[in-house]
Amino acid sequence: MTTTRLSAKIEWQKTVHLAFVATVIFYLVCLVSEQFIPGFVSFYFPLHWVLWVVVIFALLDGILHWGVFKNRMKKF
Amino acid sequence: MIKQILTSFAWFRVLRAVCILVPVLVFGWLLNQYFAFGGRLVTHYSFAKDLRDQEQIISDLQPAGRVSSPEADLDSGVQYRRWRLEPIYFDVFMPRLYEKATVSLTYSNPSQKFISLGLRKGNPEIANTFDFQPLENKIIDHSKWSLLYDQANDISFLQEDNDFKSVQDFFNNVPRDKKVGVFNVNFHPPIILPDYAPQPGRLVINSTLRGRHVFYTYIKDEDLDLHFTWQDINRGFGADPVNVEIMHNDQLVKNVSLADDGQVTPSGLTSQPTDFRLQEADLPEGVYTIIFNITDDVFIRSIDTAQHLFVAENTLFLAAGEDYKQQIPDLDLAQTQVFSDALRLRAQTTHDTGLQVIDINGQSLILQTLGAPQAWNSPFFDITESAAAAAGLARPDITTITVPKNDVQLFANGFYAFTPDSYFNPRRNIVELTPDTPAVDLDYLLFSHYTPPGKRGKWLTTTASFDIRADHLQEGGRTLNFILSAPGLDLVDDDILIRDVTVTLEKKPFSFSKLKDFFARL
Repeated sequence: MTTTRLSAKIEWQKTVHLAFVATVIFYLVCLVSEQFIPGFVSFYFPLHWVLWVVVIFALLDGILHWGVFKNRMKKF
Repeated sequence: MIKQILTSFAWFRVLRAVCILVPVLVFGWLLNQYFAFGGRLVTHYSFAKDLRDQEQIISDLQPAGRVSSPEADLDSGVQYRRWRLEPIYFDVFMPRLYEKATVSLTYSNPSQKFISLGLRKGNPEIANTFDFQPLENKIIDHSKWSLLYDQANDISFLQEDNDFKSVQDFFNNVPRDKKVGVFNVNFHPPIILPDYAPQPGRLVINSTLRGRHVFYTYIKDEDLDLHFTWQDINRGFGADPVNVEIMHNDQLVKNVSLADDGQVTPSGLTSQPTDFRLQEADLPEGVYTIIFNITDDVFIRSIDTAQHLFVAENTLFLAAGEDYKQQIPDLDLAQTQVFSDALRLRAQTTHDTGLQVIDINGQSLILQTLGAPQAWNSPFFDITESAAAAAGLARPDITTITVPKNDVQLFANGFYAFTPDSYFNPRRNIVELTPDTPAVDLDYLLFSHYTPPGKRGKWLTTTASFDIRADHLQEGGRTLNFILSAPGLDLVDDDILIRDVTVTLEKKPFSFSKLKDFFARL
């Protein structure tokens, strides 16, 4: 793998991970808001839609980090 | 090219900014929907949310049996719901307290003459009362008469011939021999019966009546003398005080409040008969309104009055039925006969023992379904007096209604007397335009706060605004209950198609001075 391709892959990993973290935080904030103010989110869109976005980013994040995970498992 | 974009590092910065900005912006939008910083919250009733049972600010249209599931027009793909029976209800949940609610309705209505929108006020357990606003009145919309408009009072006046130069001119010279149709306007000019004279003896009404009733009587050179007896059957929650208001020319003459029997739980324990005598001397001549503001737990057992003209308005709940016999053993279950000027009548019962055949001038009105009003139309309902006279027909002034088993609510646009001699029309030449108003030869039409709906193809759009008061707030103080009413919808062939309900809630916009005041109060 060339240096540029490797760097691009790392950038993708960072970006998708950031998106995953951002959606998780957004989901948690929405969940707490909904608990305190019923209808704060659910009047406009179902909360499980956000959860689906979290799941998609979690899968993408997992796929992009699969190599890292595999290497760590080997060392372990 | 794509490879370049995917590996360009500048793009990653943009993408990361988007990843952070999107949730922040969506959350900011949610905050703005909740706090409405600009002072306005506009919300639509969504068919899609309704189909997937998602909560929304505007609730589903209820009850389900009166309105269809969302349907779509095959040509245009426009979604709508078919409104089949009236009334229907919807709630608006306000995230914050707002000062004004404007409801905009887009619908198609080929044949229903009247549609109105009401906002519930007060406790629904005590009384089903609404502040109504008209949405559509086809009589006014189709009128070709000349229009006068009083901008100061927002009153419009339609006349066939140009008899009056201004609305004020009409108010100053209301002709007593001409029929005036009124719609959504409080117009009660003083009524004087020139041939009236007090009579000796008393009028005794032994028919048991349930809940709120409005009576009218006439007084001239005599005291108001009203003796009534009531009992509280304690079937519902809450106190059941008895409040009686006497009104004359829209002014309160007397207000009497009598306390509840102390039972506030639905114990089913019936209170002892209680009586009260209401007397008032030196009253000026004219029509007097007697309003019994009572819950459905209170039964008026008898009314005994020195007034010989005495009628009930619009709604009559004849309660001496088998279902209440256990709670009120001395209830007289004999049939009740009332006399009314109404040419359209609806009747309903909510108990099996109230299912029966009501006789109206020899015609039968069959009650065979619980809780569903059954309508009776006089053959003269759609014939004006002049048309009936031209055809050599005599339109009856009074209809005799015989209710064999009682336990029936009667609804009409008219008055009911308990004896033929005690009937009088307290409105005389003023005709309130409602769906139950028969065809009438009007000379003038007076209405206010009404703008005909805008038309786009077959779809009409109209709005109604309500200033929200504390007594409008229901269920936790954040919900508004609306009622959509189109009386007589069951009698016309075409349904009303509801395409869109939009609610705009308004309050004062956010200001930093308010925020400062808030923190100063902490």
